[in-house]
Amino acid sequence: MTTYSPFIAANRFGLGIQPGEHTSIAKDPKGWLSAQVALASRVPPRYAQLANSAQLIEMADADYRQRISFQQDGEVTDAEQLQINAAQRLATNLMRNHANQRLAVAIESDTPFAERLVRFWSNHFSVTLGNNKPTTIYAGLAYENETIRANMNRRFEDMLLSVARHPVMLTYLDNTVSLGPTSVLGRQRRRGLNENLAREMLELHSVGVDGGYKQADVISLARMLTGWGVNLPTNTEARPDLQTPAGSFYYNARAHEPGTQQFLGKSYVDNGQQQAVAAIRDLANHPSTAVFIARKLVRHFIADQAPESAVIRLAQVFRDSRGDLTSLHKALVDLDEAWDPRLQKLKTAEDFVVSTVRALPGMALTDEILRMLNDTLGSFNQTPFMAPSPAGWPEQAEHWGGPDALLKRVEFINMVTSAVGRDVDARDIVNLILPADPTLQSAIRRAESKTQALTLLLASPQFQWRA
Amino acid sequence: MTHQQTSRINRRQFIQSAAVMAAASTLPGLSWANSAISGNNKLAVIILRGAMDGLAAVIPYGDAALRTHRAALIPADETLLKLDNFFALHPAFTGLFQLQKAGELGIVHAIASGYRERSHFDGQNVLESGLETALPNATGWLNRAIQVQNQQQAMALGQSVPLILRGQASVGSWAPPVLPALNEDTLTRLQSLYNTDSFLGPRLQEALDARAIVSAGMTNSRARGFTALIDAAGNFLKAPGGPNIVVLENDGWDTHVNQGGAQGTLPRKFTELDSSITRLKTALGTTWQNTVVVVMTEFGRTVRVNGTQGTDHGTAGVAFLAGGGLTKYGSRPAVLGPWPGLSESSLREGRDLQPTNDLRILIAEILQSHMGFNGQLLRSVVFPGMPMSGFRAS
Repeated sequence: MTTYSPFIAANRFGLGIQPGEHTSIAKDPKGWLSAQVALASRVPPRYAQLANSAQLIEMADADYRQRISFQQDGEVTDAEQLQINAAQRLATNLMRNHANQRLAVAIESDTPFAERLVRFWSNHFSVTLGNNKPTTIYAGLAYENETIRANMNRRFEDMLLSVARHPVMLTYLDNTVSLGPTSVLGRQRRRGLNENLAREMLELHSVGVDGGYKQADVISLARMLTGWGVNLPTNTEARPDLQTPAGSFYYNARAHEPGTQQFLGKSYVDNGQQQAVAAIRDLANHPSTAVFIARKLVRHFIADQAPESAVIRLAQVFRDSRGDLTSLHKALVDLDEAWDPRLQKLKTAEDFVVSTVRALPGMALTDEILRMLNDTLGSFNQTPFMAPSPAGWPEQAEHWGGPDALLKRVEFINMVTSAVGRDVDARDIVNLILPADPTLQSAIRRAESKTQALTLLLASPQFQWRA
Repeated sequence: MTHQQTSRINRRQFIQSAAVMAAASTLPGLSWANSAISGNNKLAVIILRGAMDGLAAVIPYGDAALRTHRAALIPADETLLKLDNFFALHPAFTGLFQLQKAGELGIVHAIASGYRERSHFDGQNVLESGLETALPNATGWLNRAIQVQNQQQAMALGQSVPLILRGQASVGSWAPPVLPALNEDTLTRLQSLYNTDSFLGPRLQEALDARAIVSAGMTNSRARGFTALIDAAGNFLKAPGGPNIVVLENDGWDTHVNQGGAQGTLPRKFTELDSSITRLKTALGTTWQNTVVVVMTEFGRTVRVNGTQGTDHGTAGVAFLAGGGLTKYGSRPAVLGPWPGLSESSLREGRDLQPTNDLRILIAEILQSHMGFNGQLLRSVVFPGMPMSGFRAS
């Protein structure tokens, strides 16, 4: 007999409970989660005014070209330096604004399970943006909205394809510099394949490293993906396709490796960019993909050591629904394991910060506070779109709960409570935000001050876990 | 497989491994006498994440096939830091070159972990677990090592504890502090809440202990990034009662695109590594004399330059050893390990440097002869799948 705890609903599957929502969640914890699934592709109002990725890539590309041209024609003049600085200020503000909005969306969300799902997939298709790929540095949030959020109520194959075609991913995993070795451009420039995107699509995005592919499959997929790039100008030429916006997807037939390819036991005829599209759709529906995705969902939401029964059940839903994400997400909260109080997950740094603010009623999300919270994420090494590798942020408690990280969490709470500790009474919220044991209850009662009581609550081991 | 076939294969394998064992030497000049092992000996492990290109770091310029594979990646001959008439250090390694002259550098070429596929994540998993294949819930070999030899204390320097140190033995971790200090009374009360949490409790305690050591040692350091971790490694290893093993991680070695020959992305990483090791020597002072630094990476990179002036995931590569603790092994060739050659037919799967040594064997040698770990436990607990052969010096 499964008991549906509001704490598990809000903390394990959401972004932390807001004291005021406890009563309504407690009426039907599972129903509260299920109802959010269909709303996952809604665009939060805070994102309504954001530019799209093509615009942001075009802007970053222009900034980069300007900087390089100033530096290459000899000395950078004072006037040029002023222009560079102005562009940099604009860019810094823009990126800070994106980071602030993304954090605020999580803190304010009234569909926190939907938001967690978006972040799960965004991390599954992780991109790390840095100055070595200057054209995409502004476009992380736009990438997330265009590939992940937009496909939340469609099929996995739609999301996989959308990610693989997205200029940010194509740039991040070097497909933009990959040329078919015997394509027109490959022969002209004597350059060839880059396997990076193809390898990660197999290893990280779909079938997984043990999913039954070989090096030859990596090469075949890389060949099929040649020509998939971004519509941007070069040093000597205007952007290749003047009909579509700069910074958007561009298929360059002259870079495409000709010929039929064998991929995972099937043959794909060369019909230009449709060759890889067909392969990606099959890859998304490969039996290994169902299991790989199922295990990752269970490991993310339920336990680091994913219970096999839950994995099998979800994989079956994946196969039966042909990767329908709405069905899959609903099935996740239908699992008995989802509600097992013995299973535990440690909060990631980001979710720890977000749940802290959600627990504090009436904390105003000014730009200044959001910026401070973002700096905190930086000090925890979890700046959005800066994951350490294409595998994204790790899952295990060992990663998030290292001694030093733990001490930093305590220090962060200390900083927060020294600001708001006098305004919030821990005794009022403790029983609304987590299942507090008697030790914690009594520690809060006996605290020397309201500030200390709040510190003990939010820095407690229980608040670090998602129970 | 019939019984007969099994026994024939086993016999053949036995004869092969016996031959290997007969040919294999331990590290030249290495003695098993306990005189070389002191309770004060220190170990620093530096993990290079992303797969360092061993052929660019320690260049086999005497191999005639090298140029046919990767001419674009080889710095000018006169700039190479030649170690003998076959191998040279990349010009960026000026500090390591000095260490080599002092007998404080060991280079092993054509070495690899037990991993033979080409995924970074699995490769690092195997590098750090010391097992044959990647397992999602593996423990780290260094954690298992300190579990069986529990007078050793290890510390991870960085934002989180890497797999190599994960497991049942308790280890410390430290990263540069950035947030404000806490009230001692609140801390004491929090500690009692954490006492009942078997996972988080010991970890919070480790952090508080570590903070006490570092705050005593580095009040004036303003170093950042990897340099800050190197400085901390120096402080920890020389602190009385501090850890005698530290682990550091350095990433950014995955050079698929424009990796650079004389200059560029990879040479800049070489300079960073080179100056970090020199800086560690300075930071350690006299402790350097009983320290060995092991620098390792998940696998090597392809012998041929790829279509984008970089290299892709390969197999064998280079491991560096550094430290005053190496002088006790006596004189030895600048580069250890049999050279498999770079001719087409010598390459693994037609693209990679063939491994001639197993990284676990090298590490086991260091753990045994430098840190005094029990050889049998190293074989049974720390590196259970380690090949039976010894280290092959040449």
